[in-house]
Amino acid sequence: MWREYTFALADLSTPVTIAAWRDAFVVIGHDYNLNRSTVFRFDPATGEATTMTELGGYVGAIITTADHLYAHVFDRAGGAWDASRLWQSSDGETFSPIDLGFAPRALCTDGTTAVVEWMTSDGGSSTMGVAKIEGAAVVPAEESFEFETYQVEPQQDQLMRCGVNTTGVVTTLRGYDQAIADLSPQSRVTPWNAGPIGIGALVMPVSPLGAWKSDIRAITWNGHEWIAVGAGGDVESAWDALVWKSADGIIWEPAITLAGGPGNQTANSIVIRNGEMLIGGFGGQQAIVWRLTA
Amino acid sequence: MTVPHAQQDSEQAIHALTTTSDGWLAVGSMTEAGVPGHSTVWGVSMDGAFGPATPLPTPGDVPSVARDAISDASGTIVVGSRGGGRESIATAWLLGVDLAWSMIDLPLDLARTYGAIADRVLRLADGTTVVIGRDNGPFYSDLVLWWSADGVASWTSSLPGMKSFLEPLVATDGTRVALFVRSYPNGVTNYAGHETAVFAMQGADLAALEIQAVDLAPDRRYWPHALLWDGTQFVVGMQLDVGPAVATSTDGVNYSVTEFTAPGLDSTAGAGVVGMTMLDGSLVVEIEEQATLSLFRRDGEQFTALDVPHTPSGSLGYLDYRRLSASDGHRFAYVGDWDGLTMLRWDGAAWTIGPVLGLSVFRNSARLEVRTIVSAAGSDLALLSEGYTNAPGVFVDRPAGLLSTHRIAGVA
Repeated sequence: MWREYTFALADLSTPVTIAAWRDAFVVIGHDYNLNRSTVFRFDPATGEATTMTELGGYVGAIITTADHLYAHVFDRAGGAWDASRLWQSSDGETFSPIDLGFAPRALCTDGTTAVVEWMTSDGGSSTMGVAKIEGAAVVPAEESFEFETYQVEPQQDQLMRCGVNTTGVVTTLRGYDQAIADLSPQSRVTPWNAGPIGIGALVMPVSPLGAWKSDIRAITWNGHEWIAVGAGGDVESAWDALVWKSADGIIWEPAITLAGGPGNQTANSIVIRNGEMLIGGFGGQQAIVWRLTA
Repeated sequence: MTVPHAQQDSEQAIHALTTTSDGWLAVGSMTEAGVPGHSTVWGVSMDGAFGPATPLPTPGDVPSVARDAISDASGTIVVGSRGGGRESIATAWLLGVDLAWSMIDLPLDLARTYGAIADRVLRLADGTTVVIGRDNGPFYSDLVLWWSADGVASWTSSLPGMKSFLEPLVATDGTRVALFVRSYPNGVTNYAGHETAVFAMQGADLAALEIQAVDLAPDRRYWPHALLWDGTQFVVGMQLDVGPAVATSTDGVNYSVTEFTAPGLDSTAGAGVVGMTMLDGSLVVEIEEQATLSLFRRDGEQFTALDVPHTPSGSLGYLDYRRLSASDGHRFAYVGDWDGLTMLRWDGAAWTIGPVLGLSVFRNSARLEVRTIVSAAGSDLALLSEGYTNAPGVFVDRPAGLLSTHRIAGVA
């Protein structure tokens, strides 16, 4: 059974994300008024959260490998996404910036390989790229690629999600606009080694219940296929929690509805463990954890 | 498994409001825990008191939803859908003289398409009932028209070959039906824009008089929200990149745009015209900015602000992306947020405001959410946040706690 802990952050802090970190967990909280993020170490054995450090700006994502912890930091005062930076730490207490030469958009990891991705737009075309992060160094993938987009919402390219396995990385752009034809979720596969895939962004199927918008919130690799979770806007303008599957990251099966009907249901995150998927989100006013077995 | 703090309250969604001879009728859907949502209506008395929720008859254990309604001398009809995806069926519910509801399926040419939903219903001057919807479920991307001379049993459908990715904006001058839709103009499938169309009865058919691609503001972004016939022209209410704007047309297909200005309106790029109505022959424009509603009434060539009641704690806010107002031309009602779900009424002389009793402020006015789950060494941890809303759809998150387990059991 799940055990619940109260989690006291500073007043007005918002919980942002959490990552496994060695023998415990790292939790990020953000104080919007002070534009400050706090890094906590949480030990489930004791139920205690202790402050590790504070970072200026908004930490939108955090990932960990065996040796490092990487934080995607946005400096609101510096102008939203162009001012986003990547910070790394080996102890969770002292962080230093990595000079990427570009503004990162998203981070992902399979626990071993850490990946940063970016996208720059110039009029009707966008350039995307991914790179491995190794300590304080960045190793670009062999291919940076360019594709045509149209009517990209200002916020649309900010919400990239990625998943990584041993052969490559799948990037998804969420689709969010007032028409599914504008900006349905798109996915792109970048191989670590030159390969036959990676020829363009493809439109993912959307909700089987009639989505007029859709939103990818997380993506992961379960050992033999890619799994994406998120939500689709149903006929009532509310959200339905969805799961997408793909063998190659390019061709996606039609979405499976985890929870639908009137009211909002959303899937936010996914973890694969021992062949089981744990998906977190909410339905109505309830927090929900779905467990799906293979 | 449902985690702590679970709430099992039912959820209600009002999707449309219309006037009736003795008050108003609100239509939408209601969900109980573990049961598919079902289409529901609420009778609202002239003094704004909401009656009990009345489920509309729907066969089978499938979700259904009521999207729009009209009530006049020809009768009361509610339209929506039952089922979902490719199996979605456009549905109409009729109120009989015995005050009992009956259901009919709106016909569809299943050899050509599938999966339909009825979005809007209106009545022409000759009594013809017109229903506008979409097919090609689950995408609901293609326009469908239904019409009926008696508005009861005999219906005809048409697939005019137009895209409509969203619920179309619809208005009638009594003879013509004007549409403003999100589509692929000229069939160019990598560019989503807008099209206008005008339909009218020709013999027994509702025929397209003209269909045209339009771009109301080239090289600028705009979001049309409402369409109305003001007695002399069709008017589109919209949000332009610089603020609220209206576009007008006498033929229903060619529009000219004007930025909306009015004394006392200090609007910003975030403001837009979200709705319009006619009151005693005058156009009333609903401006929404930062979840706050303002009303402006056309007086000659100028708009003047209507003195909508306010309280120290706030103004009447926009409830949902779907506009919830209704007028019979003389009286007006608006359901929105004002320290709770509230109905604002204008009886021709004065405003009255009162709570919508028995209904939640919004769907999910407070919610607990699993933000992230992580797993390490056989232990799982979920980060919870608790959201409170002070504006429709906008949640202020607070930390709620952590869930931890070493052995997963009984997860839903």
